[in-house]
Amino acid sequence: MLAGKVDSIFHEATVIANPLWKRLNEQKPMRVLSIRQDVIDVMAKFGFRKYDKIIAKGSYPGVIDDVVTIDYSDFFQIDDRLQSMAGSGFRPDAPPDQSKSQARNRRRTCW
Amino acid sequence: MILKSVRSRFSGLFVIAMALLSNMSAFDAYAQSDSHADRWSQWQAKTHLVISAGRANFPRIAAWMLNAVNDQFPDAEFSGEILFTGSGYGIELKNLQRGMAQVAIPTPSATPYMSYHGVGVFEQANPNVRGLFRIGQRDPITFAVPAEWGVNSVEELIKRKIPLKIATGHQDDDDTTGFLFEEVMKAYGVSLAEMRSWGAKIEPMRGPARRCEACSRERWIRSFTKPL
Repeated sequence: MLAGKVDSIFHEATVIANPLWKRLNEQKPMRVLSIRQDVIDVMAKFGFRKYDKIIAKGSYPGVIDDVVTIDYSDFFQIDDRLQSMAGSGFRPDAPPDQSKSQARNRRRTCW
Repeated sequence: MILKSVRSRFSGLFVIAMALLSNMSAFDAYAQSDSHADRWSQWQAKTHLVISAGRANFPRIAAWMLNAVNDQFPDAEFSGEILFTGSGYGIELKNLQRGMAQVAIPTPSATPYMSYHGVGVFEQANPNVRGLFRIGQRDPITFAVPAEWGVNSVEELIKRKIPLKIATGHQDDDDTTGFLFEEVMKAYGVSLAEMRSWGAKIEPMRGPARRCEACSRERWIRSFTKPL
């Protein structure tokens, strides 16, 4: 957008909190649009939901009115139940074996 | 003097580029050699975990996890690797489904939902998908246009048939941002084809994900130096 290759954006990540967003708005003021509630509701069939916070008017450059939008939060660690660590004895819910870690650290710490 | 210095710098760059090219070529030859699989397997311990982890912060998370898991095993009995797919969306879970990886790190929470149910960018449901843990990251979708257009809503954008050039994700079977944009516009009553008919351009923000459909691990590794 800063290079002028595109003029609009539909993107994840906290675009409006990025310092480049401020610079862009100084060069070319933008307007952040809301997404209608019934449209957000349709997206529920794909697991998307409403962003649980209204982006308040004036909180960032380009937020001329309160903005309602779609949530795109979180990283997930996903595991395949059939394959992962099969037969290894690894249990993701088990507490770490501290004695083993400490023993390893004693042997290997060299800095 | 300045010219000499510039020439010397360019020569240096040329040497580095040539060294890289010859090195890549050597790696490619190595990757295709018969001994490659054997050599690669020497790095694999009794338990080997592959994490499909996209780009940006995802591989870092994967490295922390591999390190923590490694500490639970006796010495040299665990090994791991991280697939830098350049994505972070659907392809991570598709690698899981195809047995290329045992753990995936995708974003957002809707991506594993789609995989589990076989909807959106996924044609096949994967009922074996399980969440291990979530790393909280607040992230709203930003839909923005130039203020000078005087557009107050998405409806108005459509009504005025503005030939916008919009940066978003790819329209493919991986990128959930591009997919979401298409679905949102559809829910507003307009297809991307209609938008293009009035001159709109939909531009991907980055290159597509690295993918390797129905390929072996060795072919996957080769894909990093040579187009499939």
